Amino acid sequence: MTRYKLAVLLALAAIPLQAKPRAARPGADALILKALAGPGTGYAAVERVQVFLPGKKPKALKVNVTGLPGGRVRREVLPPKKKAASVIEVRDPENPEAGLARLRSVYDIAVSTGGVVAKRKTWKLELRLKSGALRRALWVDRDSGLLMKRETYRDDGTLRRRERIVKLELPAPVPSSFKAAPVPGPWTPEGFAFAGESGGTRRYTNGLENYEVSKAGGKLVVTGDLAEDDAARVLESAAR
Amino acid sequence: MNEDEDARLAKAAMKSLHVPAPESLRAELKRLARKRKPAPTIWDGLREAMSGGAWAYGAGAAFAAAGVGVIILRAVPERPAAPTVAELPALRIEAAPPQALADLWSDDDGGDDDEI
Repeated sequence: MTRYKLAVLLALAAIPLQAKPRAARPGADALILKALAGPGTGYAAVERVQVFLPGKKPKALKVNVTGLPGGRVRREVLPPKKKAASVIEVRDPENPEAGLARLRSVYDIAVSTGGVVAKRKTWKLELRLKSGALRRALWVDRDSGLLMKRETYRDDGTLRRRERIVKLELPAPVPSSFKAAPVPGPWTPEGFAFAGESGGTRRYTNGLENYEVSKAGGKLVVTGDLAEDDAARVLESAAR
Repeated sequence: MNEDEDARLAKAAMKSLHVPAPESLRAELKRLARKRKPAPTIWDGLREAMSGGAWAYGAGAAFAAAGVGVIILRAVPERPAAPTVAELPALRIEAAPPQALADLWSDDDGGDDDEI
């Protein structure tokens, strides 16, 4: 081997030493706990929620999300028309361990590289039913743990719903006027509100999707447009 | 025709006839040249332009008034345009009727992009 070849080989061998070390992939449980705890600082984001109804045009709404340092989140859904009112929702975070236990009881969870969402590098979590069907995919910010994007799929694998942060300021100052606390009551998925009760069946809607909580054979039952983990949480909350 | 031009014409005529100019004509030409007013310097011209007549005072006053007007307009904050449609106060989700929730949704292209 000539001296020249040796020099080239040494230079090539040194390239990996120069490269940035690849971030170690976190465990699924640790990542979910981080996502459920949320970032430690305040943040301001714009989120787009899209719903894909079969055979219909997709529908969307836009939400101004403000995260307070303690984990409380204020969501203001902006109306598409100026003459309509915006809708405000305030939510406190769930105990991360309880949330993880519920997800683990329903899904098998795997972590992979998630790409970039709103200019943030993410990890992707795939939540599969025990049958193997993909139900949800979550994109979690690698630095802060903020949930950047979530997709929900139907049994046939088609996309049912996408929630995505499209603009993010983190950390961000939180306006001092944001002091409202959540109204006590049964837990509902984001954007859903009580729509009425008839014959012992309580109906909830987000204006586009619906679910019902009723009693059948002495047991509470949830039916409607909810993923299994949300349905389980609705039942836990309704049973209390 | 003034005497300056007379003397110069006479000299030109004599030159064209190849006749030498008499001493008296030369003396007259020299006298006229001395008498001729020197061309104003650039500073004299500028001073003259600035100390113009009444029209210049008017133009200066108009320019100053326009300047003051621009300064005042820039200092006064712009008043927001009156809304053509009164915006409604925000609703808490617990109090929102189902129709208010339905009104929040609009048609979408289904894209998966950041906001620009």
